[in-house]
Amino acid sequence: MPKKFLYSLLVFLICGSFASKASAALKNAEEFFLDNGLQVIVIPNHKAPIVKQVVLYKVGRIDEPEGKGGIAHFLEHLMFRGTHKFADGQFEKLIEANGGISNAATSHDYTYYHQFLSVDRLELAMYLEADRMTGLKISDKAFEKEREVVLQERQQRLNTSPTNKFWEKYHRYLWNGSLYGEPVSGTSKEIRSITKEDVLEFYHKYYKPNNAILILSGDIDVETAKELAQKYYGKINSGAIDDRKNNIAEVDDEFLHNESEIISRRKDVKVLRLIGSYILPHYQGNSPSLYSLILLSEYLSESVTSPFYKKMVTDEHLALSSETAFDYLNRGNSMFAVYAYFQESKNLLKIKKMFKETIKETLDRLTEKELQKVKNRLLAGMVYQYDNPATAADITLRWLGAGYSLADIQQFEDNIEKVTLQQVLENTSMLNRVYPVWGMLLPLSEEKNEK
Amino acid sequence: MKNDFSKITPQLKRLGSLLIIILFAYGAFLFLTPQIYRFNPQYLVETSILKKKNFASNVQEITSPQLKIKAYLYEEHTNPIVSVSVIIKKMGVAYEPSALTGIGTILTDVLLKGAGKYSNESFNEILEQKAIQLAFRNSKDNFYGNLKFITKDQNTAAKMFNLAITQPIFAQKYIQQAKQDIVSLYLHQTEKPDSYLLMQAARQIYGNHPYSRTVYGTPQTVKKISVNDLKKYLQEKITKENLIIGISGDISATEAENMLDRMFAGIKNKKEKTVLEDIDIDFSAPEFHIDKKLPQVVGYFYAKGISEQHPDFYPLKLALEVFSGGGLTSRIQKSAREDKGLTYGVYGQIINYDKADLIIGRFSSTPKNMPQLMSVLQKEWLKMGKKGITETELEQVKNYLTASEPLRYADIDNLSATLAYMQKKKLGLDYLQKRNDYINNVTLKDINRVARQYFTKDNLRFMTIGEIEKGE
Repeated sequence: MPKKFLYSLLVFLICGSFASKASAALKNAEEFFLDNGLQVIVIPNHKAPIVKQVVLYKVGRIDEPEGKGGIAHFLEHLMFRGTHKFADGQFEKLIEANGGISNAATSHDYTYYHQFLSVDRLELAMYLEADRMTGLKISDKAFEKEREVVLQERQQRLNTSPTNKFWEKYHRYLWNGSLYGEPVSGTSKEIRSITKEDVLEFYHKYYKPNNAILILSGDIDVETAKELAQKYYGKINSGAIDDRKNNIAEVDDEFLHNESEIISRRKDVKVLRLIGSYILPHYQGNSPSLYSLILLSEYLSESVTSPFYKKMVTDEHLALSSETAFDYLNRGNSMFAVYAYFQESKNLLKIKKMFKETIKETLDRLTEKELQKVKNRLLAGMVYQYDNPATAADITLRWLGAGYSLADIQQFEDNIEKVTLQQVLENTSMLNRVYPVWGMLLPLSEEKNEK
Repeated sequence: MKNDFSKITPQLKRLGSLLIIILFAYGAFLFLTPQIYRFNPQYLVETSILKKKNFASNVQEITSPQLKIKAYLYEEHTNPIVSVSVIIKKMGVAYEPSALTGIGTILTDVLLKGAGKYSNESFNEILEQKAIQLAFRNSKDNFYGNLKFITKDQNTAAKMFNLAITQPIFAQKYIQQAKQDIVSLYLHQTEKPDSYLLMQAARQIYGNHPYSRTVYGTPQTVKKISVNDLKKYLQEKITKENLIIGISGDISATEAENMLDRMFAGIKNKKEKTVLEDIDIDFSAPEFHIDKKLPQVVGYFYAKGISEQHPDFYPLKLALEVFSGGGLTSRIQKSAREDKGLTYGVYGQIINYDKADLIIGRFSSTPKNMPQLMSVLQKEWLKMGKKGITETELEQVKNYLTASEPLRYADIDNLSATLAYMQKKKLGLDYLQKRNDYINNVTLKDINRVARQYFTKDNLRFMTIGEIEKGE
């Protein structure tokens, strides 16, 4: 059974694209807590008799003990391998037999499980999800079998595309020792060193209602949600959860203020890639800097008429495509990145230079009117995304998993509208001071020509 | 001794009966315990407080005040958005003049390249700034328009839609671009094994009937299409009589009725005369194979299907689901799991065109496993015809289909598209609420009767592309 896991780059891209379309919707969403500490978010949408359940545990790759990278992801796999009440594989079979779609994913910051179903099957899914919050039971045989699956998944990932190895290498370099630079799955060596006891300890420590968020999105009202959440999750005991803020290692300042780069060369590379990342602080939900950077990223790259695209692709024909992403939905640092895909390595230096110039020029040229257009573009389509109960749950879990609140999502539109031109200029000027960490994926054959 | 013995005997007797009682109780305990702990998922579903949930609003039929255009409306006010799906009947590629095939697909592109007083740039800027989503699509029988907008922008959205279908600019530049794109899409289709097979299979099945066309026409016909052709075709086809409309979302009946008049102001009210000839398909014709070196063999199976209005539609649908559906009940998937190492991608469904009702299934496997997959398909097909399905399978397939179907409506566009489809296929205003009943009411007897009729040796045709390993 293929189980997705979100490796850092993927998180990066997915968050970027979702976030840039988030909105002030979810107006009718509500939040409450059970006595055992379980946080519950209900997003009523009565369009069709369907619902999505998400259970998110606030634990991911960055919370793992040293040398044991990949426990969270390994555990995510094992959660489908049976409990005291249910045999191996039964969870998925029951959901599938009842027409539902079920999966799970692990990121650096969190692990989540979700089921999308006809609403009359919700209680079944809640029963099963609550059961495996406490009842995990793994035989030695199932454990070893799953280890092979996890190892295979890792190998497959590294082997399927030359770019995957590059991204991993780049991220390790970029994060300079922070666990954000490590692959979510752990390395093969780490995966081999994980024991069943390691996983069970991790499970018993972190899979607690007071370390979890339940999201119910769809044809359910808040009263019913309260009744059912209490019925299925209410009796589960809370646990002692430590404050793990310290795990989020700050990135070395020295490193960030020196431009640096890492080059990967492979013979099978046809499309060349350049990425430049600026590691930035983690912004609070009420910080104007957060919304200034979101707007800047939207302005720079969200349309074919954007300055980057126009300059590099349409006018100068330097690149095949070019974009930016602002990845802020992390418990740790946020990151602003610029990308270019191009074909000739002789364009590399020009593109690098142009990135820096374009950010500066764009900011110099930005007018109130232009900014308003960017705001409109950013906000206009968001309500569509939230109208799909499955997507609404997905976006919500990404915000909450990163430590933001429901109110932050609900106030997104206001926060964007409030940003002034002056604020955008002030809050994004650090992009001219902080240096990007460059990563390049180039073909092997041209190495000699360049030297 | 005697005394002692006689004393002990009743004690033993008592002890014995006590033991028997204990043993019995223990036995009953053992017998009952698993019942207590045995989890019954269906019980949980049946007794759920959410059991009675269904589509909350009723679909209503509305009529616009001026043009008297009818539509189905599903009002739902959770979010301030509206989706409108428009089917334009008899405007699909099969209804295109044979010298102009591909004309509909050109329209799907150039209708969005400026209209009325708006240039391409300003037209699309308005759409972008207001997040109005407007798109057109072409198919065998129908041309489709889809409009999605935020409730407060309903007048602008209706106006933009109206301009696109009544006053497109048809700038030469964009027509040329669209033609180029369509020709390259056509060529791309011939390069991809899957779509190349579909193109060739269409010729095999439909012969010279217009259903053998692709939506891209041919490079020859596309190149010859002129601005005048586009104008004339658009005017002739978008007529009041050809319209079928579904609306869902945050809009009242009165608002929706007025919107319809705005969307279609200026269209003709003339009878459409194009008639598509009937077609008689031979489903027992020999297998068709294209030999090509590919890592995967891709195939399609074809059989005679049934119209959605026919009482035997749901029995056939359920039988096909058991044969090769998406859920766990699929016999083909089961047999793949049992034969270790085989992975089959098989999915079959009923397709209803204006002039043909088909069962079409796609399957794929490696060259090595393909002969086995095809023999499994054939064997299971005939078995279905002979023996039908079991009571357990019936229960499982009903459970799966009734529960999985509503997930489609997460997307509001699918909801409005279904509202339009319901009218085209005359499924009734209560289809959304009743559909699960239609499935639950099917009996084993019906399914097995219909299976005998459709799952026959003479009603199954294979089309494959790739390299099939012979042997064994």
